Amino acid sequence: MGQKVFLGILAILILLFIASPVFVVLPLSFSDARGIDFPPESYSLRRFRDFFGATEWLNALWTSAKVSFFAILIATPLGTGMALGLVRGKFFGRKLLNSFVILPLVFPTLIYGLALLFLYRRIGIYDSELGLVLAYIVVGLPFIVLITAARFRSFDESLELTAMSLGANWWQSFFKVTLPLTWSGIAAGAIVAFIIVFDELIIALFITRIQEVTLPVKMFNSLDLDVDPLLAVVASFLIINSLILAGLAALFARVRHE
Amino acid sequence: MTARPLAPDPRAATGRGENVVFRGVTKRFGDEVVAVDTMSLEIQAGEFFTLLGPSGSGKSTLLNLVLGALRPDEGEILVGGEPITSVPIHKRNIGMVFQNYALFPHMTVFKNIAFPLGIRRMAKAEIKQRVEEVLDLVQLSGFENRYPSQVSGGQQQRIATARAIAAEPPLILMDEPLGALDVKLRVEMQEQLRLLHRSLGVTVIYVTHDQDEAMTLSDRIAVMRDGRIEQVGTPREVYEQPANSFVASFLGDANLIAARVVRQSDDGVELATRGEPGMVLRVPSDAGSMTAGLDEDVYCMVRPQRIDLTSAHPAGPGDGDGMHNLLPATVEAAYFSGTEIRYLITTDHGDSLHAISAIEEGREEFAAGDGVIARWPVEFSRLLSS
Ligand SMILES: Nc1ncnc2c1ncn2[C@@H]1O[C@H](COP(=O)(O)OP(=O)(O)O)[C@@H](O)[C@H]1O
Ligand SMILES: [Mg+2]
Repeated sequence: MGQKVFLGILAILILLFIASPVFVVLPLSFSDARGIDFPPESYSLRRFRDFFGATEWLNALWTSAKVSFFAILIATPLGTGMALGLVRGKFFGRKLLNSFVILPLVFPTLIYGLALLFLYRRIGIYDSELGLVLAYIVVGLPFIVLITAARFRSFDESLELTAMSLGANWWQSFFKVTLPLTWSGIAAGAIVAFIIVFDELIIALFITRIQEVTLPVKMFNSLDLDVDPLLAVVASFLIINSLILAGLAALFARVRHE
Repeated sequence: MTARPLAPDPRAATGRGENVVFRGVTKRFGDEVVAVDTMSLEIQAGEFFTLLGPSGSGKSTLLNLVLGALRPDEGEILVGGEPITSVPIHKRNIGMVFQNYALFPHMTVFKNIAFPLGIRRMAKAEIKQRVEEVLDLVQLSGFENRYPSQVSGGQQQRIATARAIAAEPPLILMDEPLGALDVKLRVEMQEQLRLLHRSLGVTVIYVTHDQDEAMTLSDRIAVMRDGRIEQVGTPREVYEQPANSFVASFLGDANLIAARVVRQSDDGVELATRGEPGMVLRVPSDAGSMTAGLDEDVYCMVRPQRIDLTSAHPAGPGDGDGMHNLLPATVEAAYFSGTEIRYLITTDHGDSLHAISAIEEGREEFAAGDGVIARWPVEFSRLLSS
């Protein structure tokens, strides 16, 4: 009993530690002061007003949203197809391939960014939205593959076999049986990948310069000169965005299709 | 193979089954496991054929080869004379019922059963009529709008069956379809399945590890072990004339008495039990798929129901009338079960046997420690290889 209470308290402490930036950044973004003051002496919405008046911040937000959205839009069907192949496929080397899926997750981002920089300069998509979208498809893909593959693995194959024995070809079986019963897992994968891609910094630093500044890059750059108090607002914005999406992903992960 | 047009009345449709032929079919998993081993078998059109065997004997693998979920490594399977190994699943027109029913949880009962019909682009009104027909056949009219999660296990089973027969496939595969139901319901469903098979006239390949179920349902049974068929025959044949001790023990209780061949003649084989003095047992000459040589070690098999116990005194031990085998024994235990008594006895030469006797007026009953004579007609003895 005492052990369980201890573990519970430990878990809460760890969670608080992980979440501690939230408790700094959120109050800061509501501060009324001109500079950084923590804890704030008075609160107001002034910084939010400033943020939504600052076009460069809004542009960066818009770029990030656009780029992430299209990257995930393309990565989701791709990743779903790959996951299906990994789980249901009958080809030589499937087991080996399964163990390679997490490779992109541990591959050094710096190297990837550098390689893309050389490649993009050569083919002329350096500092472009297209370049960002392509890079982020690759960044988001493994998350989608991992999460949807887990969903497919727990999916009862006899449902697909039954559908096909009843006359459905592979596509009909997928769209009438598999997809309606697994879309929530795919959605969860897409959302997680979106969160990852949305605040990606390092690769963006390598492959963009002036034209296409994403929100994380803009934040990073604004650190150079002086600490812009608007950063707190942006950070709050990112945190809330992530929380909502993560909540949604968790919700989807729990959907039962009955 | 293409889908056949629907008969106007399914109950009138008889003789729609197709025969299934296995020619040297082998299926391996990896280098170690041979799940189905060079199997050759012919299943008649319209037959209710059961694959019976312990878990892991390759029954499901064989069914999945017919279904098309697996491809054989060697050999060919023919349905209605056509080789099907290279035909994709959805073109085979085979009805399948899995043990877990595999009902589509996101569809109503109606949509589940209409699924194969919709795929075949049947007109809406026709689909509605056909779904009503099959629901009526499985006695589930009025359940159209329920979801699978809203009906009982037995009802789910019937829905799965209805869905499998909706498009009138000539061949239906069932993998332990009643395995998840409790005993009472299972017996009810067995009767229903039997009737359904009669009225449809389709070929059914049925998988079970329950020998009672196999015997109740089947026209013929294939007893499987380790990917091979041990014996094929009618329920009576495999029960009364088992080919070997495995089949004998798998199909209900079997007493196997170790013995040695001492004499062979036209009217039978004479055996001597092990130990001193060896008791003489007689076996009819046609009562074994094996031909035993003199002095060979064999088993004499007899079902517990055939053994009659009498008190030791009337005749001397071994004093057979030529029509019966007699073994002196001691009762170890007697279990009362309402309609019968099951005795565990040990013969004087050391074999443990079961005997079952119905409870009847005037029949002697025994208790542990009693000396008895185990007595059974020679014709119910079987000679099995050891
Ligand atoms: N997908 C598979 N991969 C590896 N081995 C399998 C697979 N399916 C079945 N087996 C093996 O093949 C043998 C026969 O299995 P199965 O056909 O399921 O037997 P049954 O249905 O009679 O219980 C078993 O030894 C089983 O472990
Ligand atoms: Mg099985």
